[in-house]
Amino acid sequence: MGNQFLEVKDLEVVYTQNKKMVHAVNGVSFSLGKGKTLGIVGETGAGKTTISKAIMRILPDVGARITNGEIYLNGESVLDKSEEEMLDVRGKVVSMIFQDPMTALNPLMTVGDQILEVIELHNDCDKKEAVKLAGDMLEMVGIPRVRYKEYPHQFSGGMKQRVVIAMALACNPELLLADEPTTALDVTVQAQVLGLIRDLREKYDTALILITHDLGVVAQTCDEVAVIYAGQIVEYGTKEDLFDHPTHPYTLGLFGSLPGMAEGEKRLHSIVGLPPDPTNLPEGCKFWPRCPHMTEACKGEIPVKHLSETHYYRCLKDRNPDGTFEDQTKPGGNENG
Amino acid sequence: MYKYVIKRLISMIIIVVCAGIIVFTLMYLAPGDPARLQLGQWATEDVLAAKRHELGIDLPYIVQLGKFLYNTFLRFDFGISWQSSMPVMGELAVRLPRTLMIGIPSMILSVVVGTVLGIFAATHEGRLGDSLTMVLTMVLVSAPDFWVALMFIILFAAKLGWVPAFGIESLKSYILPIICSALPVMAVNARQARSSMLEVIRADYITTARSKGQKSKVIVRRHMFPNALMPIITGVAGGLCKVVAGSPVIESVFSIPGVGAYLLSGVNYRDRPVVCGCVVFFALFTSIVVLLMDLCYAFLDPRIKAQYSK
Repeated sequence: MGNQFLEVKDLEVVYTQNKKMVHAVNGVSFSLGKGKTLGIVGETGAGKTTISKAIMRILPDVGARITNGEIYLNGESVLDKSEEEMLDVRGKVVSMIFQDPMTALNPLMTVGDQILEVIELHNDCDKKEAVKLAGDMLEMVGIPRVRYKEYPHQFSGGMKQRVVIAMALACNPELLLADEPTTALDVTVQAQVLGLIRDLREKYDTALILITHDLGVVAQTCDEVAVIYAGQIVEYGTKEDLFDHPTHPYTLGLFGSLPGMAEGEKRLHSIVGLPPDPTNLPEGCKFWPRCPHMTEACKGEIPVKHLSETHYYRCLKDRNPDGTFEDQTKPGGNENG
Repeated sequence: MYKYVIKRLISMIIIVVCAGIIVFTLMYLAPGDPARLQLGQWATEDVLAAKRHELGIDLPYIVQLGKFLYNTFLRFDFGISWQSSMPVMGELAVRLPRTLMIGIPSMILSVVVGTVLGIFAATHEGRLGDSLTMVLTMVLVSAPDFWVALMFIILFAAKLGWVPAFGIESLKSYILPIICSALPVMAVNARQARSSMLEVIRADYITTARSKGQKSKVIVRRHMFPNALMPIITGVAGGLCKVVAGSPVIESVFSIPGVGAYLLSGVNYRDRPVVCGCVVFFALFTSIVVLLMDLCYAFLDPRIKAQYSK
């Protein structure tokens, strides 16, 4: 560590909404090497999108504040940059693919012009060349060049997401933030879009942060995984660490809620309860109200425990080598109802 | 697209004719005897009957209506005012420029200032500038225009003597009427522009534009404003429709012989040709403006254009 491509340290983001403080991100730290892929997994509202928007400094002007933490990109502090300096970072060094392709494109501009916009901002070339480049980008994501002058409403959801991807990759960014790029798409298109992102990433050696709540997508794409709950990383490790030795009760719950095809199970498991209200987070471990191993001590300070150099989790319990916890309860999802 | 315009033009004709029929019928049914209103309380029954015959109001309703429709829509003749015995068309032609002298500058003022204020408020949401703008526009929306006009006359004409209090002798005398009729419309435009800008500011494609590294000024101009323009145009079109009608209140307060005052006196004297002529003219103008507005939408928004060409 130390001189990684991207480093996020103790990031805290607070939204103010109707005079209430929403603690969206509570001390998140991670780092990412060049060309690597990090998956950020968690439920809706866990703060995944907020983390990526904080890295690009595109949180809403009104109401959102980065209250603590540092973000280093190529060794330079992102949070100390002026807005003007950030303009050169966004779209060129870091770019983002958004969750909902239906609303991510300006409905009044042709798709070509929207790709052109980012190229003209960051490339020193004349208009003609830029238009050609924008057309190239369209073809690269599998959209014929002749559709350059069409508007977003003439495209299907998957096509729009391709346009968004073309836009994000137009200036060969060093870091790509993909915020649930496939959530709004149906399964077949999902696979295509993921394949596209993977191919393009390999071609340009772009680092990728893939935000998702789909463990299957993580397994296909990521090198490292951060499981996030209520704005905190509760478990972090390589893909192998996480999938072979899931440790935090929340991670185990997530895996437990995957349908097991082999055993012919009838019911899906789920984690009991709902994510906590971010305006009023529980003391200590944020997960204790839903945790099957909860004790009084969970409401106090929670240590971070390292299982290996790459694998750590945030829980009071120690994991036994055989995968059980010290209180002998078997890990796994809770039976629902 | 051409098909759409032709379709709209046909429906426009139907609407204007209907407006003519409705206003004619209402005036026909309105209580009060036009002959007596003109000749005074002491006129004898013989004289009144002769007058009624002269005005043609002793004929059956359906005949009168037929004549009215024939003259108005086929010969483009609005008839002769019962009150002044002057052709309505000629009177409108004389008065319209005065009304437009107030209406057009006031509309431009209200649209430009209102939209700029609205954008300013929206981009400074929750800050002092926004709150001040919203309070100011609230006051302007709620203050009755005749009262504002009177206060302005007291302050700027009577006390300070900068401008004349009434009349149309000099260009200066148009200043107060223009401002007075612009203020409430400006306030409505500002609130409309603010709310539609705010809606757009939160849109995902604005985040997309920011993530491209676009400057915020360009984002406002290129991404936000065009998307916020639809409701603003609706407001502008609403204001434009009123331009030819003028404001009876403002024209009365400032004693400006414009179209609004003409219509008002027509209503007072049950002067049917004047009222019907004015209303048909307003209806025609309004439907043209609405058509232009819809074409504007199509020009701005490819989605609407696609709908029209179906």
